[in-house]
Amino acid sequence: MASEIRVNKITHTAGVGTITTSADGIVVAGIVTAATVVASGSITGEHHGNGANLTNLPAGNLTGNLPAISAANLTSIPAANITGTLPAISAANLTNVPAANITGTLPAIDGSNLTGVGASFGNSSVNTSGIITATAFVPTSQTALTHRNRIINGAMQIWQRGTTINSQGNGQNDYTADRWAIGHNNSHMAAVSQSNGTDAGFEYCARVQRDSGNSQTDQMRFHTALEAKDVIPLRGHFLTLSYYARKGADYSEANSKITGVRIASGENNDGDPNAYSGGHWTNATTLLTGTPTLTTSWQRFTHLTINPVSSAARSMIIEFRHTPVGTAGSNDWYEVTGIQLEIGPVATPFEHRTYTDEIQRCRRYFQKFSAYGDHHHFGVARAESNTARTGIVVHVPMRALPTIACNGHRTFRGDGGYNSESTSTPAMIYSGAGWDADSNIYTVDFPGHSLVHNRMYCLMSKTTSTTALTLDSEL
Amino acid sequence: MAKYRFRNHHSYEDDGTTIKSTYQDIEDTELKLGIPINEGNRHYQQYLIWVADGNTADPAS
Repeated sequence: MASEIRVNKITHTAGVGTITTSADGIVVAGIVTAATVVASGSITGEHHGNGANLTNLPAGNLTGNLPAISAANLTSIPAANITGTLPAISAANLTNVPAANITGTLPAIDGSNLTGVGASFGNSSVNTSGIITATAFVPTSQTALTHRNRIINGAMQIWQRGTTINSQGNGQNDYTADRWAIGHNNSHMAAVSQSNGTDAGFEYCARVQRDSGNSQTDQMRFHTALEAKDVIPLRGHFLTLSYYARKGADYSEANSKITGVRIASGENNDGDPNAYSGGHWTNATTLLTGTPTLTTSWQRFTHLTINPVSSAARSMIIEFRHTPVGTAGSNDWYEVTGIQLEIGPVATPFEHRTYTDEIQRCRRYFQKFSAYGDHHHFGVARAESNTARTGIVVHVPMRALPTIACNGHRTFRGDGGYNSESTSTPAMIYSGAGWDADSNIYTVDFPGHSLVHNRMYCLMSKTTSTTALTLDSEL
Repeated sequence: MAKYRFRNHHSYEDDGTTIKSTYQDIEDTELKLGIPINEGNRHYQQYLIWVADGNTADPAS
């Protein structure tokens, strides 16, 4: 049988703790101790004490302002949970940031504090539309900032032998523009002529053209070569070749290509370019074979050698090869200019040289003394029996003891006017020995005269062209 | 006449007839070139190839 006690207040014997009952519940005055408290409703009022055991709190119940505590233990926060605007704090402690994590666009900040950058740009390029000023520029692979172009007459400015040169064929080097020769097998089939290069940014270009109506299909080789003195500084370097080229409307190569833009080196001294084509260079090594496709518009082509230049190289050829097909039309040609060979892996803008600079470089290999008739004064000659011996002053010392050509010469006496005339071929007096490569006066014998031994004569030209005398020490 | 011929060029004593010294070169008789006997000269190299092909230059007169 159920029983109940109905009271409105229970008081401890000490008179402190009380339980007061009412119609709404009970009120406890004092400390309540219990093993488990199960509340079916809200527990209201102020809560005090340690929160160590406040686990699994629903996030929805964490509202209001957090206390101003340290964030030292906020570790492993998922990045996705860090949103909104970061405070304007100093970045002084952002150390050891992985480079891969610095992406996107950098702010347009002043770079004046980018100090100590050193070599940290690595393989990247630095591009700027502004002016770069530095205490010094020290290229590491391109070497010199000037005199970069190792090709002489790459802009086809100099044509001492004439502005249209026919090929002879038969494996000969027929020099055309200075330092540039054409070679092919069999008989004459082509010509190299000076042409307008202004659309490519040059005054001239070289046009390599098969004769209209010609049906020879021999490979044509247009080339230049470097002497050992210019090859040795290239040893151990990769090279970049660049040039401008276009084709004529009837260019007959099967795929509109220059089928072999070639650089090769050899260990023989001052190699003859045609001897390379004949397979006569020592340890010939191909460094580059390009196959540019031409159009009727100018294009700039660049090629990088596949290997560095051999440490034993003493010869180098730069050659353009193509093989025509069928019968030539009137425009079976290609044109080329702006040829530049430089150390390093990139093609820099073409290095234009002054005309004077260029022709002096060319004269190391070929010199022409111009005059018509007997108007060129070779010099005062001493009679060596019936040979007039004089000193020819050269523009620049030549590469090697030159071949001499002169189709006529005259002697005059100071007391008697005209004395004698001869068409005998002159001779370089130091033909066998005694050649001084740095001399600017070459002693030359002009034979075939009627002279009195040891007398002095004025030696003049007697030519039927505008060329009084030539000296040739080409490769 | 061969394409090439040797030539002797003399220097004389004061009498103008006694030979003091002589040097030699090669004339390309077709192109009228005076070719020095020098390894660095390309025309001399061409002459050597011509000789290697079995040809013989005319001797100096």
